[in-house]
Amino acid sequence: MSTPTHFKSGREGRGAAFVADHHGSEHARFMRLTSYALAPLGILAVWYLAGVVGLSADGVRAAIGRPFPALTLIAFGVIGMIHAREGMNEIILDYVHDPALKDKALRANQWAARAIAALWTLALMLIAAPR
Amino acid sequence: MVEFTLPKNSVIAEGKIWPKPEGATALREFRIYRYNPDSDANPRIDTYYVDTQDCGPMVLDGVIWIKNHIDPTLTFRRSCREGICGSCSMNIDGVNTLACTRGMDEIEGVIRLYPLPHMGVVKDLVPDLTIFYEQHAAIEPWLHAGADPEKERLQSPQDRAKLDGLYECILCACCSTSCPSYWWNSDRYLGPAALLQAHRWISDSRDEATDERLDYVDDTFRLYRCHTIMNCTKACPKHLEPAKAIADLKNRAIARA
Amino acid sequence: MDSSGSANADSDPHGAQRPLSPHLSVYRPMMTMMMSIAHRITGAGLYVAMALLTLLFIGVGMGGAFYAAFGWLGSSAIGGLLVFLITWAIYHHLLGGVRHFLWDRGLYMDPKGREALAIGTLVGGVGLTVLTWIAKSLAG
Ligand code: HEM
Repeated sequence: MSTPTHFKSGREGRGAAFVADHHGSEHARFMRLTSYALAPLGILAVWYLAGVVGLSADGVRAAIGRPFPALTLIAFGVIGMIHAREGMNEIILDYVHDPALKDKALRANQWAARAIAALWTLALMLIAAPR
Repeated sequence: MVEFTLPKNSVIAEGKIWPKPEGATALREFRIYRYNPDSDANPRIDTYYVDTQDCGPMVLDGVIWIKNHIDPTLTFRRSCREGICGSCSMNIDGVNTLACTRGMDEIEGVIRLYPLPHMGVVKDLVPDLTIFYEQHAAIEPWLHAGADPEKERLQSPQDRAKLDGLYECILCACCSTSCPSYWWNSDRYLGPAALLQAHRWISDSRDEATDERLDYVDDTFRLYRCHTIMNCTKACPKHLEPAKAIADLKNRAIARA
Repeated sequence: MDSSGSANADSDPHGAQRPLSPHLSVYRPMMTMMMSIAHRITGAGLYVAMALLTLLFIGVGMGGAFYAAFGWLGSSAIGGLLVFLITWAIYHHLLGGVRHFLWDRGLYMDPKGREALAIGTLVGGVGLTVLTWIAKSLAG
């Protein structure tokens, strides 16, 4: 019987086109490790973000331009965006089935996440730079 | 893209309201999904009234009463009527479960019945389980051990206990078809029922294919479409824990990756 | 979906035309499932939020025209509301992460435990957000 599914028994499939891709575990471990780092960083980030509302540009610089807040926020942004890139990949794999579209979406996600992380870091360095 | 809404041929229409049984004093309203493959019409919801004085207490009793007394064309699977065959699984009052073990008195108001969610419908409450069974076959649910043994393969009571909560699965498909991740990717995700069985054989001290079994499930789609949504464990009419089995499979796969 | 309806297309003349049974529209919206969806929505939302915050930081860091363009994200009432929502999303998603951490270890999966974790995510996220903003305003 022919079916449009990918299911074949493990035995039959070994060595053929049905071997597992072995990528899911790496991804899951990566999400877990980044979330351990993001939990404390996230709490600090919330604290600093809540502190910049309603301030002038000088006020914001004074609030988060010191080394510790700036470095904490940079770490949160960079680790957060690597984590978010992996997370968004997962969402794309769930919902986007058309191979060409999926490929485009995955690639767009790679670049968007990198761009945000880079600009985030650059901006915080500008904020923290002595003037 | 995944379709979050129903395709055109699946949109549900308002159906027929069947007359109330005469002389009945305690009526229960049932609204049931109907689909007839021999007509071109879309699926519809029919309304029936069951005389609870003349009928057993379970949802399945109600459905059988309708078939016997009102509408003999109403189609559903059932066999044991005591929660062991897994045939009468359906979506009852918004949750997948067995019609034979869900009491009518556990449900408030109208009793709404749909086939198991996001499945091809063969007729009325009967879904096409072909892929579900394929997934079960794919994990090879039998003992893999070497050459014919000289003597019986013994298992200690402790090792046997590791299979409790796993071997009792009745393949009703309540869990897999409750899972949104399975809805969107049932062609590639094995689903909670098959993964629970994979875990059952991986946990069996007599099985010698543990590594190959783990190897087979260690896949972005087969295992890792699980996002711990928990619908599976909540739906299981046998109170098994597919979500826990999947968590253990992930931990084992991660440990050897 | 391309699969479920058509499983038996070869052997069964009806296979290809089978209707799809209803799913999202009929499944009871249970707390655990809702919190799973909320984890996904906050995660994707934070992705966008990080881009917005990046614009604000660029505005502050560069000054001038950049601040004129993006400064409102920090200084205006709407910007303040956005940042408030972002802090809630971080807390909510963070607690969702804690829930995943426990469930990944098979903990609190029992009927009481799983409901408690789901409600805890919701209440904890809102509670921590409010507490933080109160503390921040008291701290000046
Ligand atoms: C604050 C600390 C954070 C923790 C503890 C955390 C934890 C997690 C965990 C454990 C997952 C995996 C969920 C799963 O297995 O399905 C996840 C997914 C995700 N996270 Fe985070 N995260 C944090 C911050 C962030 C931030 C800052 C962003 C965005 C910039 C983000 C974006 C995402 C996305 C897009 C997903 C995928 C959602 C999904 O698959 O449903 N997370 N997070």
